[in-house]
This record gives sequence, C-alpha cells and structure tokens, in this order.
Amino acid sequence: MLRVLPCGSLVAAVSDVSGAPPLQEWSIREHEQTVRRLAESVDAILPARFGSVIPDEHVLVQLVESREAELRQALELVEGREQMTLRVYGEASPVPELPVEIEAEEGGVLGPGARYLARKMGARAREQLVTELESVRPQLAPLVRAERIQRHSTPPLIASVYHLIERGQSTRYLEVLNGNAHGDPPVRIIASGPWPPYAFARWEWL
Amino acid sequence: MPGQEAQQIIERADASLLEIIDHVLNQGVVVTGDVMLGMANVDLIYLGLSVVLCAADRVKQPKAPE
Repeated sequence: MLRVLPCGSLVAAVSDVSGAPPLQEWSIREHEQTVRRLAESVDAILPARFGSVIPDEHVLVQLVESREAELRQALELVEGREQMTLRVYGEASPVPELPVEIEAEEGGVLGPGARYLARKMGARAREQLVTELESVRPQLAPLVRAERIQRHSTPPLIASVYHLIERGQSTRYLEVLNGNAHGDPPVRIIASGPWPPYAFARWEWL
Repeated sequence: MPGQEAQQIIERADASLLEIIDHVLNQGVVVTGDVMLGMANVDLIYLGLSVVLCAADRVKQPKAPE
C-alpha cells in the first residue's frame, strides 16, 4: 500500500516491501499503473525506476534532502507536463562531424587532453542529432518544452526521442506528427504516449 | 531463473508492453550505490528490449497512434 513520506520540502510515495519486486509482467504493469495514477493526481512527478528499493525511510529522506535543489529543478521542468515517446526506425542517416572549437594552447597546437575533449564533445553533440526528425521538428517545436534523445546501435531502431509537452496537448502533438512527412522511406516514426515524464527523471544518485 | 523470466516476458510481449518495460526499466530516478537493491537483470532486459523493439517493427504494421 502506498503512503506519503515527507522528505524535507518534498514528498515521496513509497510502499513497504520485503525485497526487490518480482520481474514479472504483472508487477511491471502494476508499477506503471501506480505511477500513472500518481501522475494524474499531482502537478509534477519524477517517477522512480522499477526495482528501486531503499533499506529504510531515513536513508531515502537523506538522499532526497541532499539532492533537493536538483530535484526541485527537475520538478519545475515537468510541472503540468507529460511525455511523448518517438521511436525512429530506418537506415541511419550519416551524422555529420560537428566542428567543436577548442582554444589552442599557447603556440597554436592542441594538446592531447584538448583533442580528447574535442572528440568527446563532438561525439556527444552527434548523439543528440536525429536528422531523420528534421522534416517534422519545426512543426513540433511550438509544442515541445524539452527533449531527450537516445540513439541506438540496433538498426532498424535508430533513436528514441522523448518530448515533454504541456498536459492535454498529446492529441494536437499527434496531429502535427502525422500530418507531416517523416523523411524519405524507409524512415518511420512510431509515437506513444502520453506518459508520465520518465525520461526527464533520469538522475543518477551516486 | 531471473534471466529466463526476463526473456520469456520479452518474447511474449506485444508492442505496448515493450513500451511499458522500456519506460519503467530504462528511465526514471535511479538510486545507485550501496542502497540499490534492484534487479540484476535490468541491463540484460534493456539489451533485449532494443532488439525486440526492432523485431516488433518488422512483423507488425505500424498503426496510427491513438
């Protein structure tokens, strides 16, 4: 049974368990339904990942309080909003090399550390590109408040794109998506949602 | 065995269940370190998910999102 646990100025919805939940379809569906019901009853929610278990309340309260600023920022982002998920299928378009400006060290030559940083920044920027979405992105832009992208190395699944939109706008979002070209075949975009903002709660607590 | 259970879930899952699995297992707030008592096969499931999401696309006609 769910109960509310005050954690400083925030609250967590928790239930007492004897261990990690069983990895079965019913428990996965139950978790999803619970998160969905909670999301419908509050303005802002950060879903926890399925299977997250804490030894006791005190530990959870300490963790939440130690990350309160970051959690508040995340809650402000998702307040009054929900998530749409796009799965992009096709043959991946070549992702362009992105120029990354790194100041050269004195003498005009980049050291090994700077070169490594440039490569890493370029790779990260490329990770955020889904060129297959470019034909529809301008039309979706007015509806999208935030975006997260996960590229995949398992074709034909090219990327997963998560869009944060205002609650109640999912029908409009899908109308816009379906009314615009999705790039040259065989690119296909399959949408699902709305979901609670799972992709905007991806915080790793060390 | 947990690995077999996970594989069975993936093999039986329809597209909607795969979406649920991906959202609740791959995303959300994660508590790591000593206090994490999660499932040992989460990574295994996720790796399987990417493959199965692709496989589901191959065998099913895409339907208009509701």
